[in-house]
Amino acid sequence: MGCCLALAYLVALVRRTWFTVVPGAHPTTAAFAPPARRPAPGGPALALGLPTARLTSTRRPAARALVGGGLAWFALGVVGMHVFGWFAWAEGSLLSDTAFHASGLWVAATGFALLAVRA
Amino acid sequence: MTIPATDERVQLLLPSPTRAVPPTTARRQRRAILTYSALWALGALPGLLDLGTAWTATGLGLVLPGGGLAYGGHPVLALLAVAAVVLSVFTWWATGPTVLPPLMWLGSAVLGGLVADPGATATQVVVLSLGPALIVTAVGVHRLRHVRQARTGARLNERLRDVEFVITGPPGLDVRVPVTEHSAQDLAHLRYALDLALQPIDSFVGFTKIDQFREAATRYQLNALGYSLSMAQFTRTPAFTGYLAEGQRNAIEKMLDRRIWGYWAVENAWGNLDLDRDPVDNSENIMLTGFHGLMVGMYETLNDDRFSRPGALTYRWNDDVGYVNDYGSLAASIHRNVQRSPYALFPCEPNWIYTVCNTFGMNTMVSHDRLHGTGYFPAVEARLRDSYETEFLRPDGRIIGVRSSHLGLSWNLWAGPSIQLTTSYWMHAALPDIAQRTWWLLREQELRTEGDTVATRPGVSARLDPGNYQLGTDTYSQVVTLMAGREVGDEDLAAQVQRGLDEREEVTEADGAWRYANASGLANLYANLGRFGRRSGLRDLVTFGTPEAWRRGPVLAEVAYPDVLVAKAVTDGVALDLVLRPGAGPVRTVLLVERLVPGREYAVTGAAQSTYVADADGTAAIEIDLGGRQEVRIAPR
Repeated sequence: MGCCLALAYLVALVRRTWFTVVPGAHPTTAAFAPPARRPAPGGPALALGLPTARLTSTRRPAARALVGGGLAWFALGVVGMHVFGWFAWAEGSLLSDTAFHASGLWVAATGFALLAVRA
Repeated sequence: MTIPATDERVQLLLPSPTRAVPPTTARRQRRAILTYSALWALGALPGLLDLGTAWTATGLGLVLPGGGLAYGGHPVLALLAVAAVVLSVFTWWATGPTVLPPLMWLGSAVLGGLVADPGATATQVVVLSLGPALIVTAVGVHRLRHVRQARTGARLNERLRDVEFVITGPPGLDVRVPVTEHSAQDLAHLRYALDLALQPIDSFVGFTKIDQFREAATRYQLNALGYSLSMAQFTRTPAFTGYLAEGQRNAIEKMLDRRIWGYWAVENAWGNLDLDRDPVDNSENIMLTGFHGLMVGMYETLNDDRFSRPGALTYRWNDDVGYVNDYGSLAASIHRNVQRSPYALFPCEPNWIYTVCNTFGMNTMVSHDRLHGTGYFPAVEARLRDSYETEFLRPDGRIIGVRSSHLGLSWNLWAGPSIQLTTSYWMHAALPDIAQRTWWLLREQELRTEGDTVATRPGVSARLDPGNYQLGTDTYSQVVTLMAGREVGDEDLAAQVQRGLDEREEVTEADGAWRYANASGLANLYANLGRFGRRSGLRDLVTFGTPEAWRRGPVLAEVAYPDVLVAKAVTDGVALDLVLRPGAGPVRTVLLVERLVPGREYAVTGAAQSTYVADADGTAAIEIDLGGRQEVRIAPR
């Protein structure tokens, strides 16, 4: 591998143009595989209550995206509805109004919860 | 292949070329020019014989793509025809459909004949002149460049006369620090690879999925996965098989999935007009046989020979059709193809010979020779070396990355630093002197230390991640610099690159596994290969294998994952030393140790009991409480 970098460069240029021009197209990103599990010989390992220094990262991109996206949606909803009148359809009833504004807050709360649980 | 008993110092100057075009390439290029000459003559005839506008335009279309359309008064269509032919050559290069450029060329010629209006004689003369003029210009430019490169080569040779390269001999237990301990950070990056490898064989969650033809193809990710796990075992935990060996096996077996190797059926059909789907019994496809063979060679060196058994590597097309192979048949096919190829090196995609791909073929032969006593590599080494030094080397020492086997053509774009870096790494096992000279040239000309960072000269490939075709990041470039620097023994530079990656790259985490967030899966897996490498790590693993003590001493054969992360596991032939860390919190668990002396009593430190007696089958189940970094030693009493 690594033998065809110039061609890959050309492919990259084509792909970059594509993702710029076509709305909604996103480059594929690799992620993690599901966490693997293998049992101990003769049966499952027994968790102990000992404190341990567990390897953690402070970066939680998905959770942070939920927080940021939720708050942004909430702010956009308030400004868009009450300043620009973009979301007049949601003002039809108190229920739809509340659901509309609360949706962003719920998404942000989910993000906060994920950050808190995994920290 | 001459294997030094100890480290040796050698000199290797750049060869002084006696001609502007090396012999095999020259023959191919002469053949291509003669073929074009015949086509030119055929295309010129209708005009010379005054056969009418349509035939004249068709003929001129054969002489030059779009020539007939230009002659027939359709300049825009002529430009489109040129663009279409260029695009078809690009597609041919990318995925191998050899028929596409001739079809596009012929199609534009026919179109020119169909739509032609009476054209001017001046246009006819221009079209007839342009093809030969382009060839003469290309030859002239090549000769000028060759002279300049030869001057550079001569200058470099003045300096190379004072340089000695160290060709490392077989490692011992006490040389080159064969086994080191994974840091917590190393283990987190290893877990990314283990989670990928330990999912079910038919599952590919977490792999980049864009295409199965080029650099982002899943097979290359599987190759990198296998190599990086093998290198982790070799340099950190040679006395641990367990889930680490299982991960390597899974990567090897995933390669047998039709979704992974089935691209060959398509490429062989449109590239060679051959409907045979067999991915091994053919004269090309080293991008599968060489890469897959090396995965198996590494696995067998460290673990067992299951993939050398008949039928162990069966590439299954469907329930009825499978291509039965094993490690031996892969190595034999590579050897056969090298013997048959006029270049010695042979193609990946139909027609396209890549120098890096062929290093994997060499590594497969070298490891197979060592493990099974065959003599594949020595039989072809001289031809391969000669070809690397003549047909695929510029006079200024740059390795030529690709050449068309049909036409003999290459292009300069293909000699950038990334090509040199990857070739330098993968060539170090079989042709270490050329690999080290390539690295020396990189250090002299390409690699720049700026503050605490190491960078290659800016170029088309320096900011590309080929694993997902994304531009704008030099992570991959850094990764291959790390791999090569560490392998050839430039540890100071390699450590600097590793620090740079760890400090600057954003890391993302899932269930204790870490990966560089803005890099492809391929880049992450090769980053692991570099991280777990050491001086001559690849060379030792491929060329020399493991010490006898590692092959007969006790091993940690089974342990829970991710509860127990193995940071170090090594044996001196009788005792087993482990360093373990918890991967999912404190745990009471069991280690299964194999290859003990049956019935013998062992003293154990770091476990629940201080003595164990090995069972009749040489095993012992040892209970431990694991709350943090813990050393365990099992030694005969």
